[in-house]
Amino acid sequence: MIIRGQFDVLYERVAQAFELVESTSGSLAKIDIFAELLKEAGPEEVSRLVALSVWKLYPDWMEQPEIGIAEKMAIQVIASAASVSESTVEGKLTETGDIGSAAEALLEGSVQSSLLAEELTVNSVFQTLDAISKISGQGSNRAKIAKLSGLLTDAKPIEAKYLLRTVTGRLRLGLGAMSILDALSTAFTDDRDARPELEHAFNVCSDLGRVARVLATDGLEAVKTIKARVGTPIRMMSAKKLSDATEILEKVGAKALVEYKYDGERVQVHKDGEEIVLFSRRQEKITAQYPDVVELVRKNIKAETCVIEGEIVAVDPSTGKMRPFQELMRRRRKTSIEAMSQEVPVALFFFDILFLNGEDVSSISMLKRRKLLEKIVTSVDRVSLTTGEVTEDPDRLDAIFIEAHNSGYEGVIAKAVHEKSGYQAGSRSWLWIKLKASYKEGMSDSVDLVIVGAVHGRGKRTGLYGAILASAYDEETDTFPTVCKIGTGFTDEMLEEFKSRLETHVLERRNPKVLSDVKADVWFEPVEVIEVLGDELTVSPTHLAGKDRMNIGGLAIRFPRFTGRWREDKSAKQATTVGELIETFERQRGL
Amino acid sequence: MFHATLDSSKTWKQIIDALATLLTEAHFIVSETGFSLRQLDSSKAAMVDMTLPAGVFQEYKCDGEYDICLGIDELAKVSKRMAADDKLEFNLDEAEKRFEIKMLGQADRQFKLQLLTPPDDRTKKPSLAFDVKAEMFADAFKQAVKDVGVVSSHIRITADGKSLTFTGEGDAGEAQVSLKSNEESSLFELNVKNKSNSMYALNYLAEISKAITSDSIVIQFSTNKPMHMEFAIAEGGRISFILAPRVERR
Repeated sequence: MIIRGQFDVLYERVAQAFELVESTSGSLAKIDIFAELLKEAGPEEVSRLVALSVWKLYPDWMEQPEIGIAEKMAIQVIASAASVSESTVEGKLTETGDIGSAAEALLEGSVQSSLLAEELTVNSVFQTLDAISKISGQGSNRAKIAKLSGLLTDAKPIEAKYLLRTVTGRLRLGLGAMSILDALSTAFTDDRDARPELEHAFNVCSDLGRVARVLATDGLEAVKTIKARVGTPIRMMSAKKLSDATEILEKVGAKALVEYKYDGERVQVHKDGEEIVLFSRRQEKITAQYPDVVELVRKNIKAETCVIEGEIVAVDPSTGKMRPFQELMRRRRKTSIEAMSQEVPVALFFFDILFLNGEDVSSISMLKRRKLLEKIVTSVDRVSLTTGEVTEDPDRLDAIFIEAHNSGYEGVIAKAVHEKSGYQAGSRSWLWIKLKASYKEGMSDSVDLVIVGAVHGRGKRTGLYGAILASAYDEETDTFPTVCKIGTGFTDEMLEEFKSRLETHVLERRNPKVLSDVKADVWFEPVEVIEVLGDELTVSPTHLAGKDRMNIGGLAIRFPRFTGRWREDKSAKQATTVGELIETFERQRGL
Repeated sequence: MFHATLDSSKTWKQIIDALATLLTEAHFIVSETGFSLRQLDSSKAAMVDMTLPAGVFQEYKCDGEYDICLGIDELAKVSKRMAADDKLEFNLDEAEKRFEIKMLGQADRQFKLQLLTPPDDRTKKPSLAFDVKAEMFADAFKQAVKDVGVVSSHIRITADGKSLTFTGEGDAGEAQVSLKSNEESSLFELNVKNKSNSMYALNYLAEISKAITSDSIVIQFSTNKPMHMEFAIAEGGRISFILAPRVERR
């Protein structure tokens, strides 16, 4: 047992640990270094340390303002703190390619001192950044710059480096959320064995900082009591993909509930009496966007409190027929929600229940959950359960798939129904398997990739982007390695849309989280996610996805094609992961 | 209660302009003896310290001590509305948490500004001792800042027994302004206990020198220590700025 005294971990210590984590390869070694740091911190500090390491002061769903300082403002801050011109900072930035190193170098020389010099600590840095993120309104940029340069005035060069990387979202420790849980486990229980419990707590409360705080304050037993709460998003469970019906049934345990897969936006509905909140797959509150969904829930869900999941699907106002996902996404861009709910009306198809009248029901088996759902959902024109049936027969599974496909659904999902078929928050498990079309060879199913770069178009495409560089998400190292360059099959509309959407994400230089050996004319902040089809996965000399995990090279997608679908419901970190690509690749090779 | 009148709107405008160089909120403390204010700018590199004794005002009544915290932008906007010959009246509406500014001239105009929550702590004045004290024409100081600003983003100030020198260097070249202490010079007092030289950021000095409204200014500093700049405002009032130096890390 470690004795803990009065805590005020110096930020310099944090910066040194960050530097060490960064320069260390191997996730276990990184985890150990980070765990050592966590051990030195007090309970409240632990959660703040975690926040500073993932550069998110609060989870997204809390809808708190984030730090998010643009590079341009960061340059002004450094210029002011180091009393040099902005062009000097820009020069240093071009030379080093990193805003943190530029700050470090410029603050090593002569610097503005402070009338009240204070050593920076985890607490003071967190509080100052929190205060800066909350500055808004007229003159807020000036106030933010002044406060940040005040912080830099007290910072040592190495502290400046990590402060700047943190506020600009350029911190790249190579520690994903799961590695941070591993480090917490190591720091507070002496080994990584408690990770499953921590992961479960994280999945139901969607707040890494809270898990850290509870663990540091009251220990592992207290973490185990973290339960899902109505009003707090639960990290969504997702499905694996396979193309063989027999194999699917084997994996889920002989018998499966086979449900139609709807082409819409997945939603988690939290109802607490009259209070109804809608969360998207990326855990954003989308309540305001769907007043009609709130109304449908209010009228047709008979439960005092509940958390249920379903799909919001756009329907044709005259025929009631389902319309594609893109139609639904039009709502996100329109300002007049009222008009849009007329123009793009929606229907709701529910498929799961996690919480009912004060009770967590997520661990009971699938069919029992569906029974509960049936009891509380009043089926009407626009609200119902998903179409589904239970089968043990692979032929029947294939037949349902074809029925679904022919009637305009995306496909089907087979779900395990055995005793242990509880809802596994936050994981992609073999309990849910999406059937891929089996009549095509190789990678017949789409992947969701993050756009990270582009090359300028020529000829007819002058002024537009000629090709798009796309990445998967490496969940182990929290990076975005490239997997393909897409340059064919674009319509004129697609090219225009690339330009207009991506323009706002253009960066002066590659975000260090984006890993690429391929050169691009333009780099983007990794935020936009698109759906891509490819023929198969191949080992690539140029692309980097999975290169550090496989000893044969990185993975690339052969003949990639953009389907035209922007995955606005997904954040960059919810793109297809390197782990999934490796799994697909091994399957493809028959391993 | 608090009530005061001021015959000169110009004085008030000068005060607000001076505060606006460093602050976004003005935190006045009013008491029986007068107005005072002491605040750091948000980067903690500079401090403004102001006292306006009750005697500056024509009428002055205050029974106790009040924190009056106001947005500088709002104060500046209101002071722009003042005519040159307006007489000013200030009152504090404690119940409504408003600071009233009346302009009495061709029309009687009244503004009520919302009081902001004052900070928890009052800023303490750093205890400083100086090796150099110099008094000079404010214009000479302003010119020196502008001259060095042509080439540099910071000013090195050096004092020996005979002269006060402002130097700067940048990519474009170098600049030097020297003031000798003699009868004809704009530097009319120079006291040097120890030879000193120290560097200060030009952007601060440029802002501060804009705020100087008096004819003369007293500056005090020591090597690699803060610089203290003080000038008079109205009858018996004074404003000082304290600026931390730029120091070499290695």
